[in-house]
Amino acid sequence: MENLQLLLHGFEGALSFANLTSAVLGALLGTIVGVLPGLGPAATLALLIPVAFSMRPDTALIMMTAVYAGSMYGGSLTSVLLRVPGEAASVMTALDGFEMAKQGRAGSALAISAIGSWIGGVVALGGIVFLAPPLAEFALKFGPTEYFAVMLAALMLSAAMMGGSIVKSAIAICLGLMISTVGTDLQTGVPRFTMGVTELLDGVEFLSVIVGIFGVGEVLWYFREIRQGGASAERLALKGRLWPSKQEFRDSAGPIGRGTVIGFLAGVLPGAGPIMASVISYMTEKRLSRHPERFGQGAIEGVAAAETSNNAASAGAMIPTLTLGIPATGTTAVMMGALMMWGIRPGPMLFTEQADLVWTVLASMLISNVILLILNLPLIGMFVKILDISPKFLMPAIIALAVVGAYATNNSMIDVYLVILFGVVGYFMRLIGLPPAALVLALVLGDRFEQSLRQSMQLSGGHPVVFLTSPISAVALAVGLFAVVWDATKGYRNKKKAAKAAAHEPAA
Amino acid sequence: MKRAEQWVTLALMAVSVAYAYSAFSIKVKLDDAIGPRAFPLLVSGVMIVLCLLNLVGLARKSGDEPAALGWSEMAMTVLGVVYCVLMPVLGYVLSTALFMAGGIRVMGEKRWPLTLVVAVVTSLVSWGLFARMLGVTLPTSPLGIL
Amino acid sequence: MKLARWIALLAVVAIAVSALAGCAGAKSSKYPAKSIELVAAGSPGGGLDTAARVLDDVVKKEKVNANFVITNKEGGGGNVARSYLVEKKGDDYVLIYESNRVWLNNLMGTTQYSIEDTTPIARTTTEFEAWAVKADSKYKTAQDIIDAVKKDPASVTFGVGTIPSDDQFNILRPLMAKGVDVSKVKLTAFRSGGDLMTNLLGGHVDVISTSVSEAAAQAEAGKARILTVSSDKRLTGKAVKDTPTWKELGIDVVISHWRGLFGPPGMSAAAVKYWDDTLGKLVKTKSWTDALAKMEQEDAYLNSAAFKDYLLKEREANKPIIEKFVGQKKP
Repeated sequence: MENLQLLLHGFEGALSFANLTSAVLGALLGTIVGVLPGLGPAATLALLIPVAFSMRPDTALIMMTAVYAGSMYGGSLTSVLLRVPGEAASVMTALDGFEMAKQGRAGSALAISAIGSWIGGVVALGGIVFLAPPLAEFALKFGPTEYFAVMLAALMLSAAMMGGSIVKSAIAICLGLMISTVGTDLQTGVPRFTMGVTELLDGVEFLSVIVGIFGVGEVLWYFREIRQGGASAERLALKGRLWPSKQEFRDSAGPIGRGTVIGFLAGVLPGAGPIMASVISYMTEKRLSRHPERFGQGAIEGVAAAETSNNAASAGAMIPTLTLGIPATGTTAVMMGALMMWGIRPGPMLFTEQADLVWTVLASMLISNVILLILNLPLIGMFVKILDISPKFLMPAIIALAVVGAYATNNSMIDVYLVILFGVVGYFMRLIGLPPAALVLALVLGDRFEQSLRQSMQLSGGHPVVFLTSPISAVALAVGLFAVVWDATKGYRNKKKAAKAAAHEPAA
Repeated sequence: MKRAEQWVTLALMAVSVAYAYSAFSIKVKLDDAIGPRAFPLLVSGVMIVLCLLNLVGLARKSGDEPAALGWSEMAMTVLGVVYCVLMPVLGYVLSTALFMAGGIRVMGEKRWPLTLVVAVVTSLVSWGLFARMLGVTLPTSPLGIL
Repeated sequence: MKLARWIALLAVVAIAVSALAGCAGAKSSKYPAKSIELVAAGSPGGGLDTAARVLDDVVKKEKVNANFVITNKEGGGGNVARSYLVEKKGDDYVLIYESNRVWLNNLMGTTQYSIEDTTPIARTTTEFEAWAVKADSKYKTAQDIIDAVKKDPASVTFGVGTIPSDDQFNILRPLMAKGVDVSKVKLTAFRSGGDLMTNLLGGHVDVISTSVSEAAAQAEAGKARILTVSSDKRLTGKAVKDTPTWKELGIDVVISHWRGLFGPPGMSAAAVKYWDDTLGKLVKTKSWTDALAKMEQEDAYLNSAAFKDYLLKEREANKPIIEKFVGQKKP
């Protein structure tokens, strides 16, 4: 209860004029940055540091959290409207969001993602207030062994449930893992698969792959749809309503509730929190749904689950940062670096030594979520107008946006070539029905997946038994195995049916 | 679609084999429990098996209509590559305008004036947003921003 | 293609104009006659970027006659910045902020360039390394750990940030000095300092080697204990003032995770002298010491000649470790 009082006190601090203004400005800037691929929140915050340095620490931190929240929201905008995820965590949003947009339901998708994000963010904040210390202890139980098992389970789950056949999902996953091994090996410092390209020593840039497969791949695929009569070069999407129907609200309630819990818990684990969260909650909804076949074809449950959970996860990621002083994401790392410039030392003592500051920032997270909701709901009508632009102009512009975004990430032409390359890869993946989201998940998890396996083997002296003796790991592996076996036997039972369905399964 | 899928699967297999081959050239000195080669070899092994499974599954299926690649997809890809090559030479603004103009033509727009206006405006607006507002350094040509 | 001809013509004119402008600049005798590009060989917000921004800040505060334009070239573990520096050969208006990767990457075989392909200007700041254990660890001193490892090299697990790095040298070099068979030691990389600390606090690894400031933050909160520091003299911070150095433990090892400024190869003697004079004065100012205290960095100023000497010695000292225990040699 003491925490609640501190939070209320924090609101007093956050609601000052200067702080509110900086939250509004930050939310706006964040939305713009989130919309443009290539400029992640971490890079933007770093650019803001000189500006922030001239402000009071609390005002500056409030602006930074608002930028972060805004960019998460902005990322979902382009995912829904153009199928170009602004960052890895919005990949799952793009699957159903863009289909909804084509059906004239872009307004519904955007409204539900705004509302879902808001609920996810606010409830997760409550979680921080009441559950931070025990959850931080729980997060510490995750060593390499546990991470490996959880990631293996997540990959097995997505192979079983991503849609299409298990073999094809697994191919996409392996492809993603292969790409993730390019670069300098962490355990030995040796370059792998870099083909002598200096830039590749840091690995293949995620953003180029995502923007290539989803953005450019989508444009190339559009030509095919035009040829086959499924799309028009004159109009991208049907005209539709701007606000979700009662039925859509009802369908989203469950996914939002479950997405909040799943997202928050996944976020507490440092590393790939938001994307893991969105994948797991998407899969959960698909499994629970009475119409799993609608997922990937414009199911609002998918959008609600993905957006709610990735926002809840980014709030959950604040827990290790606040309780242990250990940054969980690139963005929080930059924020902690900024703290040092004011002579405030990030670390486990932050919560006690700078309690006022911490609670003001937490309160401002809530406020920036409210601001974003107020800011964005009325603007949906304007955003949706993008879909009125003729595809003749929109499609080349998507490629140009993808290219400049990729260039902006590292100021390197290599990333730009990768965008085009992965555009072609994305096209062929769609052609033969490999789910692109499975590849992205594997790519994002891949490096940590391999390293945690090797770390675990090194620390245990090479005994794979550790994966069974650790309870967390054993449970995770059992869940993953169950999903795969369940799916495989289902296919076995309905062999004839499955064979027929597999013959013409559309891509997820 | 069957023919296309067979070809793509074969291409993926070829990539996996090349990948496995280059995994062997990773130099290892200190023998860890699992070195830098093991994981890539494991993944490429699984990949090759999966591709074979997919091919077997395909062979059982009856073939349907051949999936020809459209010229417009290829034209757009070529344009994209040309765009990348030209960007460091001509600078962002000029190369983007050229790419946009080409892309809009490929999409089937016939009116040149409209095409050029849209191309130039898109290029300048995106340059203003990224380079001016957000401070991203974009490639320039010897002509300055143009 | 009239357009193409126009472009070609304009390009020729533009190149001619910029070449003339370049000559005009070179004629001026006073250094620096224009802005200097200060390249941080890391991403915005990282250690090298912060170092560059702090230097820029102090230069402005002290009204030094030099104007920096900071750029980030983070790719390829600093190798992108390194190639850029070589391209700028003989240019007095480019400086780069780098760390020991200036020789390390070459020994690892990821770049052909080494110390010789730069003009060392100054070592500016440093951080020292620490061995830390969890607060309730059974190991009370570094000697306990060394004894245990001597008996059975695989009995203790060590964690570091990346490999190769000063984190890792801070484990291998002291152990080698004590005659431990380090090829059997369990040493694991955890990528970031944050991951490393989480694994220590969660009890997944016994001992970590990390920067003193990261270890001190946890030690002050009572969550970890610091056993040794890698400096040559005792440090002054609250958490480390009673912590012994390697030398006090009878091990002749000092590991300094420094950051320094380099010019392109073939930088003019006049420019190097300018920086020796300017920086030599700058590091004695209060703005500089205040900035370092905030960033928890130690002053480690060496002028150009001393820095070059130091670099060559450091490379020689670490070469055997790289060749023996890390990855591959130069191809």
